[in-house]
Amino acid sequence: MTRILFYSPANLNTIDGSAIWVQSVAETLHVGATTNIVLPLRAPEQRDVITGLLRRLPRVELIPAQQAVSRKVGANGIATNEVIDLIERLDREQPFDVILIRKFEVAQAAVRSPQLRDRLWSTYVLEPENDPTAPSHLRDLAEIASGSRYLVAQSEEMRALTEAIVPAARGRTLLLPPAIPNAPAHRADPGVIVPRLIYTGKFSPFYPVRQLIGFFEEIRPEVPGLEFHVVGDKIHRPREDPTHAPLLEHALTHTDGVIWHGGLPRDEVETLVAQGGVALSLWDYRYGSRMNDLVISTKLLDYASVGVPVILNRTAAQESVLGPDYPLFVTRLEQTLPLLRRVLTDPGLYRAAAEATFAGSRAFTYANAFAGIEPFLSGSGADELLNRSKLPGAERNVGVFGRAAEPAGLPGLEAIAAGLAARDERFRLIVAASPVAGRPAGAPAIAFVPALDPANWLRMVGPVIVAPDDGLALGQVRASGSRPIPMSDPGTVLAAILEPGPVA
Amino acid sequence: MAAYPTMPLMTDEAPAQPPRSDQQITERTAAGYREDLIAELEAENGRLRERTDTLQRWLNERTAELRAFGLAAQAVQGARRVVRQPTLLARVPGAALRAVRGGNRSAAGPEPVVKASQPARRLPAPGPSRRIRPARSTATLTVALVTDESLALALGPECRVIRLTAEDWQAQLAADPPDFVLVESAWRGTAGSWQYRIAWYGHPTSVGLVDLRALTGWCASNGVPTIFWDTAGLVAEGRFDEAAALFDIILVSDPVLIDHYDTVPGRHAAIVDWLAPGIQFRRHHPGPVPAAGNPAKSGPIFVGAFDRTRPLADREALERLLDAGLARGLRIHDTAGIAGPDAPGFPERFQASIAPFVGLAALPDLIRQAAVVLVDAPGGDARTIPVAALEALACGVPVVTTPNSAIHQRFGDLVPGAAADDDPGAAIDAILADPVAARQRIMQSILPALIRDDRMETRLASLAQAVRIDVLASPTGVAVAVVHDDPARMAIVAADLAGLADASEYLVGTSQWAGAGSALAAALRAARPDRPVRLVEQDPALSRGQRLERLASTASADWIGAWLDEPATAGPGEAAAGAARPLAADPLAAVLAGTVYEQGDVIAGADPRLALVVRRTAVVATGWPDS
Repeated sequence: MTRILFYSPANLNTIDGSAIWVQSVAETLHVGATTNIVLPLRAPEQRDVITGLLRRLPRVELIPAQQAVSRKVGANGIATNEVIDLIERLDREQPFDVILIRKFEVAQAAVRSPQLRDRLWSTYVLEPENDPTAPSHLRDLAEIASGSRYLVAQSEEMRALTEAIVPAARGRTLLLPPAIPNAPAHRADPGVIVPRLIYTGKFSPFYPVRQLIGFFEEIRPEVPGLEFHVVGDKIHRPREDPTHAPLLEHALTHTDGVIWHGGLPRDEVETLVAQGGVALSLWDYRYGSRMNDLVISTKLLDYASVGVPVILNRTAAQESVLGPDYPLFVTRLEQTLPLLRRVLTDPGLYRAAAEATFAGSRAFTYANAFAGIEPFLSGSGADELLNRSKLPGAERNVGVFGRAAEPAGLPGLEAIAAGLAARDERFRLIVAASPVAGRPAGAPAIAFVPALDPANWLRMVGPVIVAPDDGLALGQVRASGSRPIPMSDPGTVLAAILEPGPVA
Repeated sequence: MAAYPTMPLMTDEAPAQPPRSDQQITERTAAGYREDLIAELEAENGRLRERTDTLQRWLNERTAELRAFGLAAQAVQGARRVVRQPTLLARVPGAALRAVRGGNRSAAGPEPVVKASQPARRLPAPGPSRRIRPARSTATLTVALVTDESLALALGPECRVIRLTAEDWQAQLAADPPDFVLVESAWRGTAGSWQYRIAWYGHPTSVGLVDLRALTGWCASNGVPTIFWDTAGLVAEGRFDEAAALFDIILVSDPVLIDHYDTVPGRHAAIVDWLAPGIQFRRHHPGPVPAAGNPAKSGPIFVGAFDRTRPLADREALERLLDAGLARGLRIHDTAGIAGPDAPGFPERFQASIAPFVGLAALPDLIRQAAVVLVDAPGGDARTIPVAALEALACGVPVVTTPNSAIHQRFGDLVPGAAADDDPGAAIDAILADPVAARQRIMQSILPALIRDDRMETRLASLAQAVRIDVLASPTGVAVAVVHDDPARMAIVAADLAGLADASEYLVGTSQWAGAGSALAAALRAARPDRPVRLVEQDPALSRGQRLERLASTASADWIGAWLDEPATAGPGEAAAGAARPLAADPLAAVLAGTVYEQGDVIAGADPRLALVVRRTAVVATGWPDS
């Protein structure tokens, strides 16, 4: 049995992305037949919209917040130090194999506990409200990274940011994306345009629901029977804009055709969305951090899991789910209206988008997400840390890695670089070494980029030249998904680069 | 700090459901609403306390750091740089300025984590700067570049360029200080060394832009102005924000992006403005069509990439255009990875039409050979003409484009496809039906304006002016010289010469000062009041060549075209009339392109009345060539 402590300071009485993430991760961890998950609740249970779903999982044990302290716990729940005390106590009673902690503050407190630090998996430690360039914050992040067994990021982009600003996180940051059920209880029919718009989630100014209602009103006369179904109950009341909440509430309750369902459990949301329509996941960057671009939203996955078309912002993380050519990405909010017009009247586009979202969601099922972390739960996983998506254009970047990058090989590499330049200037050589001083002017262009962080270095390259007897480098290259090319005479290497045959 | 300091309310009841609309939800109760509100305020209170703690720690750090760095030194350094280079004002650390002014910002509270952008200014209109320094030729400029290959090839012939590499830029700059550093919204940069270091990618080489930050920091410390030129346009909106924010000046090839960069967080630049793409005529010009090509027999070509991240409407428009080309023998020259996005993206059905990669240097020849070039232009809100369209037109080749309002506005029906309802297939057919005539239309109706308005040299001058370097605009156009002694031909000669739209001045040599000469000069002045007309009295005993040579010495243009007053070959039925036939085309337009790309001193015109255009300096030095 693998005993896992899983804690997030989300209030599971409220339905928002953080609470749904807790359910999603618990479901993912529960995929392992030998995992036992202990999940302390931050706040007293007042609703079971989330906890009810968690209780259905036989190997998930919910620990009421009241168990943490002897005082009476209020609606906002227990404090961080109380949580850490609770986890230490539970660990003394029966030790955990993994302690998965969400949020910077909680992770920082946990790494300062000598009892817990060697088993910590810390996640969501980068937070938009903290300046990631502040030296003190960087020191804190380094402390968390050093004190954790792993850091956990929810997307490749967030892992990149983490590893870029926290060197101690390099080579120890694994991916655990938000996830969805292996098969939806219901799936929307991609062949039938349902005249509905769908929004689920919270109502902060970052999510421009009022503008979406405006689009809805504009397009409604053109689409008979069009409705706008809105789910969610968390309305922000920003101090700088006291009109936000009342105007939004008025729009939600006084706009013909808008049906506001309030907060619903995730399975009911799935049922609602699966009835079809066009889902909306749009952001207004004036009111939120660009760090949102780096995350895969649970909202998107929930929409995609039942296969409805989604109009959403183009971000690298969302491209990784739906592919760069998904047809309903927007880069500006005002692009939404013409796309709505199209997708609500063009069966081919509606079907293509619906099928693309469903197909994209399949990589994010509980089973797939669990498969990504299983090697780490079992104590292996080094190769998994190298297996990362390649950057755009990597297929024409030829890496030189391991012993092949040593200075003695430079003449051969220059011949290869010259050959590439003559044959196809789109290729370039990236050598995993420090720049060589004193190369003559006019020498073939070679980029020297030391592989201080091999996992990220290997994301930049497609084919990689390695010394034939360099087993370590060969293994790393293969684990990264690159094509190894044994170093030999330049002509043979050139041919292997430009006319790839069977992998060596 | 206690993370969750106040939790006064205890209840076993679930929060009230929020209000529902339609039949399902009607109205929330006042009590439920109050409970919701209290819970939210408590949560907000907790968040604010956490935030206060974070900001307090942040403020303490900043204060300590600023002391350590030495504010006074920064202030003095910054002030010195600003005196030399006023655009650097934005880069002087705010704390240093406040120290000089005697202000104490910390008393007013910490700065926001994200800096508010200052209001941006636009470039000053062309004209002398406040520097007391003679104006320079653009050819004397030294410009350090971080650009993709296309822009480097375009700027290279105009000035001395230093192509900075990501590994060695500091040594390059220290060894050879430039007038300014120009960084493009490049995908790869010099020899690919800046790939993943300028645009946003989810990768540590991109996060934080360490290299670019170091480069701009070095330039600020060493008084080298920096310019960022976004040539990627709307399709990459947001990808270059962090990079652009580091520079002294931000220029955009699509004016739609001005508003975007005006409000980009953390922007240092005091100036954000528009600079349209330019054409390097030494690469892209009508020239002679290479022997291998015959536009009359070749089909359409597409030079560019298929960017799968473009908006749906743009991608669909491009597919329509390429499908139309596919039915007419399309050849695709895919530039992904060298002059555009990183990843190749053409859909499967176009794969068989993709030609082997020939390299950027060979592309202009391919364009010149083509009967028609298909161009992918940004649609929607975009207001820029893509450089691919300008370069093809500069080669004198007809273009069919995807819908683009800027192209349609500027060129109208001369560049079909730009209007939303244009049929690209019909447009290609019309061109292929008579490619020579289509080419002539471009040469006559578009090329002269491109030469006048879109040369890379003028863009370079704008870049220099942006950093307050006075540059001389080199003259364009051709002085047309005519030896005119025959009053009977005056009206015809005047009409012919007045029809040369791009003549920059007229030089009239005459032995009949009071007669034919003055009459012609007066007629030209009346017809072209915006052009100088010089009347020179000449000895009729001199040869025509000698007379042209002397006229050339009075010209201000760099090139002299000699007009030979001979009636054009008469067409059937016209001989009896004896009158000069109206010009079928502007013969000056046909040779004008040569004046911006020809390396030699002589350009041969196709029309016998303007058979030679000669560089003025060569005429003055060695006489008129046919003399």
